Amino acid sequence: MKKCKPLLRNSFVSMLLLFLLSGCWSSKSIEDLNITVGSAIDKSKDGKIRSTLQYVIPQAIGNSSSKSPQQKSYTNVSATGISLEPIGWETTLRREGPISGAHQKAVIIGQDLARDEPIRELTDLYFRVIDLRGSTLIFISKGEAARTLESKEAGVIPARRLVEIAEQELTTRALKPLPLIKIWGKSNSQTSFLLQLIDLKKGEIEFNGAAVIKGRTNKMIGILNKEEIEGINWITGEGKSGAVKAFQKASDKPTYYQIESMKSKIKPHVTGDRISFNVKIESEGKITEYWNPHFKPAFKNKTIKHIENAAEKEVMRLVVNTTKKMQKEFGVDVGGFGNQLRIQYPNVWKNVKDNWDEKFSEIPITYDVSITIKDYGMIGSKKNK
Amino acid sequence: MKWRKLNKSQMKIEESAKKAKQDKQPFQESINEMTGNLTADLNLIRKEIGHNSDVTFREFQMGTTGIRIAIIFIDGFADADVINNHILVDFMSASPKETGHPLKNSSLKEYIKNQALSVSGLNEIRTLKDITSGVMFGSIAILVDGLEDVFLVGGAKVKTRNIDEPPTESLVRGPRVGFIENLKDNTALLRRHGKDQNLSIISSQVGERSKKELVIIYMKDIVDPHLLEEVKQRISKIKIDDVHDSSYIEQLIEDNFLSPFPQVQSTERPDRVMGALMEGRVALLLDGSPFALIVPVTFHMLLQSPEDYYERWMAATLIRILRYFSAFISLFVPSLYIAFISFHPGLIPTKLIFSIAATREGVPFPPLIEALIMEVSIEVLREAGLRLPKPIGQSIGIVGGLVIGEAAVQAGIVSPIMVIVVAVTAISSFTLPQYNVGVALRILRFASMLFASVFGLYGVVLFFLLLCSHLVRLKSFGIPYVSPAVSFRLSDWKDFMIRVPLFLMKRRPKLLHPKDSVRKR
Amino acid sequence: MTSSSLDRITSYQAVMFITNFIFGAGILTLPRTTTEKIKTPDSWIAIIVSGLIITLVAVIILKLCQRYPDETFYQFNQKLLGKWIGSLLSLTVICYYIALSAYEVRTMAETTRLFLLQGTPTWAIMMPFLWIGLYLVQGGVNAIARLLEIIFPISVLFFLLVMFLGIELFEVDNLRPVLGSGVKPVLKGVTSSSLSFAGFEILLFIYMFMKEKNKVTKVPLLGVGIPFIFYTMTVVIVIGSISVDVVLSQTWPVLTFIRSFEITGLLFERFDSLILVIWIMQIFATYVIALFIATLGLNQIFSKSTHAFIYSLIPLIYLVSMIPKNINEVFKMADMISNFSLYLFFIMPLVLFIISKVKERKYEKM
Repeated sequence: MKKCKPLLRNSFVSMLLLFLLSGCWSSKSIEDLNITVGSAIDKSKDGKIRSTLQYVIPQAIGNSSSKSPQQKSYTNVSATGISLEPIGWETTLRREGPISGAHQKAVIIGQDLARDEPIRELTDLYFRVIDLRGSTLIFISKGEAARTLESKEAGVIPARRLVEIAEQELTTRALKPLPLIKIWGKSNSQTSFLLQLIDLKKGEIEFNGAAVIKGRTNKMIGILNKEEIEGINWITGEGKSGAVKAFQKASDKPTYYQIESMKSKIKPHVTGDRISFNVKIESEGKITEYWNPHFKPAFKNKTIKHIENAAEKEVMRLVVNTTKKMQKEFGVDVGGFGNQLRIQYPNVWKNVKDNWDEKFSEIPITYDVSITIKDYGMIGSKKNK
Repeated sequence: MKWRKLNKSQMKIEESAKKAKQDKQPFQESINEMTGNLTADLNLIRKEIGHNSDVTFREFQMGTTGIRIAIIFIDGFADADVINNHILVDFMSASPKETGHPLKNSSLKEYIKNQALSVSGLNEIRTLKDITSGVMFGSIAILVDGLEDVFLVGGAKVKTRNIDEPPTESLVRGPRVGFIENLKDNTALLRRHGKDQNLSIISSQVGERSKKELVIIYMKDIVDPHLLEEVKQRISKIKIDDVHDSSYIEQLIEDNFLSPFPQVQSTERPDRVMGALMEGRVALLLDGSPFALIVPVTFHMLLQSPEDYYERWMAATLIRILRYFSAFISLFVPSLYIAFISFHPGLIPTKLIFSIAATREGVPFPPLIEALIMEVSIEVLREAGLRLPKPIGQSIGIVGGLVIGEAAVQAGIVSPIMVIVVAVTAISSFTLPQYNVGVALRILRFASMLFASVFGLYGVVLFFLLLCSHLVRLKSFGIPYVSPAVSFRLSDWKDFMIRVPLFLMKRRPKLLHPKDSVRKR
Repeated sequence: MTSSSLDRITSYQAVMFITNFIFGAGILTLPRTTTEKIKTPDSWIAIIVSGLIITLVAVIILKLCQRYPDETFYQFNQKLLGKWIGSLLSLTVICYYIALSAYEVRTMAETTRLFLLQGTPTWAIMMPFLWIGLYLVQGGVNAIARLLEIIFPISVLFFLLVMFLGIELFEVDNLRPVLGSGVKPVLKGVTSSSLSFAGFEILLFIYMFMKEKNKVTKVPLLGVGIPFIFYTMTVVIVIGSISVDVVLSQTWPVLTFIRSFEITGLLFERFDSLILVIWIMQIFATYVIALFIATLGLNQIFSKSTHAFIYSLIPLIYLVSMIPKNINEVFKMADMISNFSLYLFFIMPLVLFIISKVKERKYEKM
């Protein structure tokens, strides 16, 4: 069989090749890996960087019989150096097994460090190394970042809890999570942006406000509180759910409007050299709490209008307050105004983009808020006897 | 094209062999022809085959005439009913009318043929060779004193088993008929299937010594003549002393002996054979084997079951897709598992990776060795279960599967997830309707595991490319092995992954180049 | 392999040849290479424009081939240009294909080493890949055509599926404004985006093998049309999701895009390595076709029909592929190859077409 000869030879040679290759250069045992789920970067006392890696202990999570109840499901390892890469190697001197960053989802940067070093450089490793996910979330910690990676509750992995809270997007009082890759884009185009700020309350983490990162320097310059985040979310229209106070007078008792959808449209106007913005905010939702017995029943449209107005006023207060803070206190645009100008007036944008943040602080912005209540739940009237 | 070249050289050999035969024959025949003298003839035959304990010589006289007659047969092989109720009775009670002349030569022969002997099949032969081979095949030779011609009567009466449901290809719905070891019964099964006069059954012999009968079956007006020619040529090439089973034929006519894939389909089901014939394929039946061979075959045909056509089309389609899926599982899942956990843990969901890592904690072997331990032991179990009597075989399965698996996990030799992977793989390979495809995939599974353990996912893809490269080059009797998947032809895809309703299947598969392509109007 | 009746391919398979040959390692960097000169999100317009141009060139190539239905480019260029110039041109083309397949193999090895097998030496990644290609090419044009038919749907469907899984990152704002800085930058980018379609010239070589030669206009149309749609979609989705600024900064923008989302609740969470592995099949296809065309050329120039050429080409390809020392040189090699293809396959077919027209006139006059 003449024709079979090359085939025979080929298969023989390739088999030989295969057996020669028994090196398995790249394979690593999964159980030996140190799977990091999160890391914290702080400024150390001597001005260097201290990085803490959080490793998961799989046996403590898996439901194998060897599990002991007291065992913590994570362990934190930290080391000090001038940047992240040497620190990573440093930790391998202290704990067996290679580091696998493929499941890392959170990076927490201490406030001190974020104010001193550009975010882009601090996270360069995370952009560059392929193992790490592009969907990694970055947080700024109010205090020491390493402490946010600790929890007293058994069975909780703090880094994962952090990510899960961020990803649920339940309330407008937290920011929409910004994946790494988008941060990279904003850093590159020198756009200012916000990062979620976390704080510690009784040893456990809490989402509390946002860190303002200035586009030019790529460093943190200030903090927005929860209420101001609400304002930002209304301006960008990116919130998914949450509640709005819907009463005005102090004598009124709590009434709350729950957001089901929100939309916003930023419209730039350019007349000559003058730039101005008009923001249209629309929202639909329902009444979820209504403590005012002396109010008229919700079966009446007038009552609903009244509550809508109150909610609109509250939203207006939020956005105006936030705008003031953006323009006057920090002088940065973190609401995406510049982006809309870029899209709709590309030529105007070319002239202003180099010092947009400064220009932005003087631009007049007007808001239109309209809120529609579609539903008021199971109770239409309140018995006041 | 390989076979064509070979064929020429083969033909040369054949010619020279023929010549050699012709040189010898005249010399032998002059000696071995019957003389008409019973005693001398009998001695001649005795010398040739008389040493066999089962060859029986029986001499008696013909009725009133006193002419001596001898019958030679193999005890237990020749039809005893014919001997006792026909030959002996007929001859012993024969009383030819007195015509004045004593019965001699031609008149005696005519008398026996026309009046005395009451059997249907009657051959007249002369040479010793014909007599001995006839007797050896189970016929009864009748020698009459004074006649040079010898009558050869009847055929072998072989004990055959009943026609049963084939054990290797059982169906939920469909005829419960399978081939048996007797060729005549098998061809009759096919004839009985339908009254198509185009069903051609051509006989030929294989085995230099054993001379087994092999029939080529096809539909005269459907089959591609090139294909038929090809089959005939390959069969004529077979030069082997004996074929024990049709699998010998399969191995001797296949295209590529280095391929792990079967290139000839074997089946025990007449309905499957008929279905194949209707598509324009050719079937081969060997005497003594219940397995018919069907050529050509494509990989897709091997994953088909007759049930695909007996069930309604939706169910059939789903089952087909399921079968492809389980073929994929049985080929790739262990290697993918190895690749993922030892090369790309980043791709697995975070929660899953923790539980895998936890279960693998304490397992002393790398995943490849772990998988090999499990795979090899499951192959051993399967083989053990196959060879033992059924009830014991089952208990082997239970002991092996449950007890050893559980104990291995408890002992920390393998991880529980690996047990799941191996078990799922093994079970999926059972869903394949043809046993030999399952075997092919089992072989390839080990290769793919090796690739995966060296190169991870890249290795799996390399293996896939290698496999595809091999498959696209492979042909079965000139038909690409991967069709109808590729080359893409919409009309053939009607009966591929999706089995369209019967009323839409109007044409026979084009890939077989049928002469009459219309199936339904 | 002689061109017996067995060695024919259908029109659909011819489309597969063109499409698979256009696809290749290039798509992994496509959004960056097309945007580099344009610097606005409008590179998808450049792709559309260049796609139309390429379709036109492909149709001209088809017309050229139809004059010589039973010959490949290697054979008929000798008729048009004379034996020596023709052979020289053929050898140049063969060198181009060797370089191309070397580049494909090298890119495959680089990305694999980067994403899948850190620590495995490059030669170990390349060797089995080259071997399998060798094994397949020995099967001739039919085997290759069938393999293309198998890997095309798998890789393309997978790619599209993964692309659409990342749709949540997509923001129309990233693609706007359309033509914000006018048409000029787009026109600047047409050349570079045209080069991403290099490979359509395969028609010059496979036309001979086609079964039905009457209704073939759809072959170049479909063959270029599929990558055309696919490229446009890729560029739109990638730029729309990760914005021009990011695309320009990334080495492998498509992989960056796929890396930046994860889907929970499926068997896999991340798809970057997965898509790379699937795309390796496409790279394999390009490599195999280039290898096949090169061996075909050698066989036809020297009028021999042996496998000896394939065996000698494999080490050659390996050596050429090891020339670039780092990833920058690999990209440089890609630039060189595609610039070369501009002269070789955009301009040359036009010249040949004109020559053949002129010759035809001459015959008519005589």
